[in-house]
Amino acid sequence: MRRFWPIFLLFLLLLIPFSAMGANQWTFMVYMNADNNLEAAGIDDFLEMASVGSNADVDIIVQFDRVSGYDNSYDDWTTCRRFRITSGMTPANGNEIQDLGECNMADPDTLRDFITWATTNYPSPKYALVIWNHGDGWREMVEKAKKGALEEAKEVFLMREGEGPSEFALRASRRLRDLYRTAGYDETSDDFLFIPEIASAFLAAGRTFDLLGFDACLMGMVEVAYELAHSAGVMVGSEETEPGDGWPYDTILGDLVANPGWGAQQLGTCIVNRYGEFYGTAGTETMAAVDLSQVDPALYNAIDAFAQAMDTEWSHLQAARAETEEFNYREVGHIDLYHFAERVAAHCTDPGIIGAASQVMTAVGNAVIAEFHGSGHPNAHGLAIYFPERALSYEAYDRFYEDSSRYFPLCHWDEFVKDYLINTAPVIHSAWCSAPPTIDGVISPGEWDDAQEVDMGNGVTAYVMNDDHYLWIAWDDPNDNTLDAFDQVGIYFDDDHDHCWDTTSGTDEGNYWASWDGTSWVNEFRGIWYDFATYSYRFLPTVTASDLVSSGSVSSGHMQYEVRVDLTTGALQASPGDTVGFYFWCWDAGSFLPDGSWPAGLSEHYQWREPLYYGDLRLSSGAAAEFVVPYFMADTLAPDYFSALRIFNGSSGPVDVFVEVRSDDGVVSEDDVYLGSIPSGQTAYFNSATISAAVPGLSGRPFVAFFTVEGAEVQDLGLTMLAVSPEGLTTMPIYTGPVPAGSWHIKVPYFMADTLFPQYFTGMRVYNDSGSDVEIFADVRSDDGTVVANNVSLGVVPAGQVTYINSSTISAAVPGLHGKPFVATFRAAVSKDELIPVVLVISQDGFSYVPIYDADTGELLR
Amino acid sequence: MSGAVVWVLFFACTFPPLSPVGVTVGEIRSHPEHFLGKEVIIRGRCMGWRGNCGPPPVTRSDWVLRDRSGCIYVTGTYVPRSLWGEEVIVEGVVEEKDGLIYIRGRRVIRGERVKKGR
Repeated sequence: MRRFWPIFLLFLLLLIPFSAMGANQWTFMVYMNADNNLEAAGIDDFLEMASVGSNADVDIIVQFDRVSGYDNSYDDWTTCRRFRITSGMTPANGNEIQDLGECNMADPDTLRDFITWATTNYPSPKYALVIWNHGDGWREMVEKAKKGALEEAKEVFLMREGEGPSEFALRASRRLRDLYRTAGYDETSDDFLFIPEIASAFLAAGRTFDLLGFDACLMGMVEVAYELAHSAGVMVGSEETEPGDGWPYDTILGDLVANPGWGAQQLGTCIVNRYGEFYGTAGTETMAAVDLSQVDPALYNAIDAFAQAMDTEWSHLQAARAETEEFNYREVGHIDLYHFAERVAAHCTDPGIIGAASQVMTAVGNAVIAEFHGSGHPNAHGLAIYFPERALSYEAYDRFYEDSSRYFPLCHWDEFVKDYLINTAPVIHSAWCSAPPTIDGVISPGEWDDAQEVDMGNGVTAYVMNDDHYLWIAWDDPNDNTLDAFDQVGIYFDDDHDHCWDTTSGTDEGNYWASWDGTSWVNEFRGIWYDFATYSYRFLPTVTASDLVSSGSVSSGHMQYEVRVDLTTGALQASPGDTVGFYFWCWDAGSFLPDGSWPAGLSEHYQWREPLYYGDLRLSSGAAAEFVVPYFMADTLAPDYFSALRIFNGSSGPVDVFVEVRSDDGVVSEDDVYLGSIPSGQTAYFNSATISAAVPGLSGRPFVAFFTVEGAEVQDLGLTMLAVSPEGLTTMPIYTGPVPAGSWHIKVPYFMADTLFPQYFTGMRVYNDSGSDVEIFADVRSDDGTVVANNVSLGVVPAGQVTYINSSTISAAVPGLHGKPFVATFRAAVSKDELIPVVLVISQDGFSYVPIYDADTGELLR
Repeated sequence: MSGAVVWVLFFACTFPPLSPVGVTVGEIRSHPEHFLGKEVIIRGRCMGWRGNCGPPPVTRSDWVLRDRSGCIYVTGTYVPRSLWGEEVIVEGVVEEKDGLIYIRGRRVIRGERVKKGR
């Protein structure tokens, strides 16, 4: 009898399923939403799993929803069934554990129920959950949305006046689809499983996972990882779209079954490696496993700091963005975060930006456990981020991205993306119109000579000019040889330049159309506003635009359009000197896209509706004054040394400064280079360094500059050319009109005078012919006597090398000297023949030199 | 004449000969050998991931274009979900993989734009 009980207890233990005892080590759950066009792939993956099958260590649990019309194999059932997959199993009738009937796999409650059932009935120390389906990355859900597409829509949107319930439902559900990015689509229910819903399902089930995988497209994103950072230990997902076959479950599960002791990181690494082996390295496939504990807060904080650091060097950032690895045909605006940071560090010079970029790269490196990419994405590093670029990504920046109370866009990344678009906007400087054109549809000779010429692409040229009452625009389209009904031009404007449409229906922003209806030109205005309640662009009914006058014709042999916009009475209201957000085009009826547009590419990239992508149209502030400064600037190997042009703006409004440049060697020739704007009452300085920075290829070449200053009261400008003299500073004459032959040259004794603008004066060049390194010292006396410094070291000139010393150099070494005229005496511990100092100055011949005297003996040295 | 009628007439009367090759889905499916590797233009309705057009041939993000003569998948170009159900024009090249004919899209445009450019 005594032996009976132990034996009986042993018998009882053998009856209890291993799963109930927790003898297995992994529960591998797959939430397979194949109620859509992926049904066949779902069956294939089911069979892959069954080629391995569950065992004592690993339970493979699948909830599989099918659909009618795509794959009728295995009894063509269309409900939602749960399976514990065993070796050799098929999804045929009778093999399921449960048949749930039709269920909505995009309902987070369905996911919650599956999680609860699977973990209750198949408990184990470790859980993996794979969300299997379509995917497209991030997106948040407005907080009011609860569950089900229509219910969500009803709580979020408002029915429009005159809209019936079915119309509202259709519109709202479509809008909801557009808003939210997802990881699942249930065709029968016409519903999507949104990322936050996954997190909420986990929360509702009281469950976190060791590994969370997305066998779906585009889910390898920072935004997704952050959303689920506290729901799992490891996330596995792809930055790029996935092929229809998805994950190779046969090899993945084969490895897991053979290694049930693996942790989440090992399993994640296995998935990445097996995925890479299956597809090979020749394509565009990607996959990565991410340690979610490294995402919040480490990676999040690094990205936040990076976004805040990037507030300058916009052209460098633009270059970095253009070189960054991008996914899904470069159309959804998903870029590789690590690669972008790497390119930023390569292009930018600001130490703060470079440091922040490095931190991001380090944080990504710490987060990504394993990563695979094919040769089609050589710079993929495992995590993508949202950054839709102008005329590159298909979609415009979605303002929904930034509306969140607790999710990823809380950091400054969204602000950076918007600031980037604003600061990289192309610019048109409208010219001042002195003689209004006749709006007859013909660009007559001389009629548009005042105008700023704009390249619209595709051979189309536009002409833009304004006065204080009107904006005139002409288009010349050589691609269109006939005048047809619906030939048209469009003008889109954000006239308060806040990079967003007005937020109410009482808007005066939007677009004009001037179109030919077959008998006459029709001018219309359509208001556009942005509804933040629904994150949608709203279009008001088109009305007649009485503030527009237009015409067009093919008299020249091809289409020419002319338009005049009244800037004072109509929808587009702006004043001279204002900047307006602007997008405009001309359209040949019957074509798919505009013949020419500016900025280019907004229509075909679906960005025409979003003012963030518009360019800047700067209205001219007044008539131009032109003056010539002959031979006054010569940028050489020492660009900081020559004289400067000072402009004092004594007018009541701002003035814009442009320059036309011709290098002496004929290599560089640029017109209408914008140098900047001078506010009323302010002074600006321009020298060769300024101009060289604005004109590519000019640095190092002597040149002639012709300045144009545009302002309402040009005659009040104080134009001064500064040079040095024994008295410190003197001014040189500035010629307006033709340059007299042999007009002037600069004398430069006491050759340095640091003023309010330290980069303008001549420089001293020193060549060290001594055979050893030589240190240069200076004694400095400011003219006002307040600064006296002796034996100031100006650095070492290596043997055989040349160095340049100017007022900037000396001001940097002598505290308090900046802004004061001064005299400098130089000293070096070499013989006079071994150190060859030369003072470079400007002359009508280009370069010349001034004599240098020995300060002790008065002997002429050079 | 209402705007809608004018629009339809415009399409019927003035829609230019589609070039390089303006075709229907049915023509491609009937004689794929004539179109493989060639650039085509098709106008139809974007069905997204719906449309009962079989499995996606290349990636899980391939989407369905349907006209009156049938449906065909488009790969290689993205459509936002706001275009699902809308009339679109697709420019692309006809390709084949594992017996499945599809279009590798180069550009997708909303058909409505032809009337009033956006």
